[in-house]
Amino acid sequence: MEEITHLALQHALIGGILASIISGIIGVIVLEKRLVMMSGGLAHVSYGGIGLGLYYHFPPLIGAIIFTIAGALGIGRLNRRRNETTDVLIGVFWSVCMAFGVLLTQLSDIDVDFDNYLFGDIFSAKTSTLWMIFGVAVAVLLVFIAFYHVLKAYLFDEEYAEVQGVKVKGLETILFILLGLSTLIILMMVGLVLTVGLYAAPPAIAKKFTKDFKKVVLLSILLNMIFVIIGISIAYALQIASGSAIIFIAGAAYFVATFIEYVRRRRRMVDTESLNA
Amino acid sequence: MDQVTVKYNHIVAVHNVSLAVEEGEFVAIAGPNGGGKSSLIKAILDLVPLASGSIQIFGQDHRKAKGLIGYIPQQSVFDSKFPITVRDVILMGRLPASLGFFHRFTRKDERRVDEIMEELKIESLADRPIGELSGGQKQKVLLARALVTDPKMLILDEPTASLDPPSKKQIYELLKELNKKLTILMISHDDERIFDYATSVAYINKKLIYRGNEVRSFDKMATT
Repeated sequence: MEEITHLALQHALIGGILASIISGIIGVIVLEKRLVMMSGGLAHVSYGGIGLGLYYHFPPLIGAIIFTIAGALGIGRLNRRRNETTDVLIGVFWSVCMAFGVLLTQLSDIDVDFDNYLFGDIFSAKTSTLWMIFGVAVAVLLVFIAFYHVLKAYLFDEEYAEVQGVKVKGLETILFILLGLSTLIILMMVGLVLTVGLYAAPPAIAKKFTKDFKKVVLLSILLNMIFVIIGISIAYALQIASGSAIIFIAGAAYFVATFIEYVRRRRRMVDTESLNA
Repeated sequence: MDQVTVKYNHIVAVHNVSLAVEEGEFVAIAGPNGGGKSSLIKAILDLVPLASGSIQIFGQDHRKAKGLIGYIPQQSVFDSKFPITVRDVILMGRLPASLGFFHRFTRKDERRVDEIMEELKIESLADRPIGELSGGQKQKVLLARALVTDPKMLILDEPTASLDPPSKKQIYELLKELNKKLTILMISHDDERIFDYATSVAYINKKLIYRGNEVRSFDKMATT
């Protein structure tokens, strides 16, 4: 691994903070709609596009964008039908795309550092990448604010929103495209193997501490920022890949939060028992 | 509705059902599990497409009748752990029939929610998360959400399933009261007390097997 410079650290922090906003908002959607499996799949599907880009000599990022968006819409359709084969189909789709990417990468004569894709490499982010992250962050925020009420209704009780006349399918298409793009960005930070952790952990922790939707979203963004900043600092200090450090912090926080919740609940139970006695 | 058929992946859930509900009626839909009761009301609500037939609601095609019907789903369809307050759940009933781009609720929406909460005596629950309520309270919240749309008709999918007897009775009394102003169509598959409240019954097992006011005789119907 190349030495991480001070400029790279700056880029990483800017990108990381922007990505925190994205994954905070999208993470809540992923958690509430139970799309953890799907987003894990998408991260791997993207590698098909990367391989295609490497083999045919066009920017791998473009291939990845096309693959993740197409994958998001495709898997989204499958999810809607939701029967016992959906899981299997997502699994097959995910591994075939990954295999396709790996095959093409190996056939191309370019020497690729697999680790960067697998475990993330935010330190190599160029200015153009930062602009892209910025663009997606703006899009996610805009959609979140513009559709706030319908989004909340959709997440809570989709069927009722539809009865009410809300164009649920249109909203879902927009969300899935955003999910594809944001997965790609999270992937640049933490790598395709670790994406799921950054989606799932922060909102799951947030939900333990507040029962207000707005606060859940804000808290997830804040937690994301904390994990990312600490993770990047550790990665810089130890000169290691950003992904493992960030996910390790997020995972540790999740287990600590779960433990605190458990202790609290125990104490409450003991309290009521002593009251009853 | 006229000769309505609903299919899922070529499996017929509802076959050739014709059913008329008069304004002001309180119709209980009865029938065995898997007999197509839920499919039938999903078809009325335009949640599933019709394989054949047509449905008219107050003279309009059912696909254009959004807002005329207040829907109360089974409690199991939504996620009780979702972080949302009672007031926000009820406000859902005021959502527009569109994509809702930059939609904001007006003061009139808020006032209507307050009025309905008062009517159902749940105003003290307004800021509680939905997950903390009892079954009966939740049911009232769902009823309130359906009522803030100012519907002409209520459709309920087993509103009293998993409620204790006193809560059941309370909900039925409420519905009876509401029936003075609204038409009610309600699925009920295991509770015979509904027949003290409903004005007529439709017994459905894929096909419409019985429709009428002899509400007590449906036990025999199940065996024929």
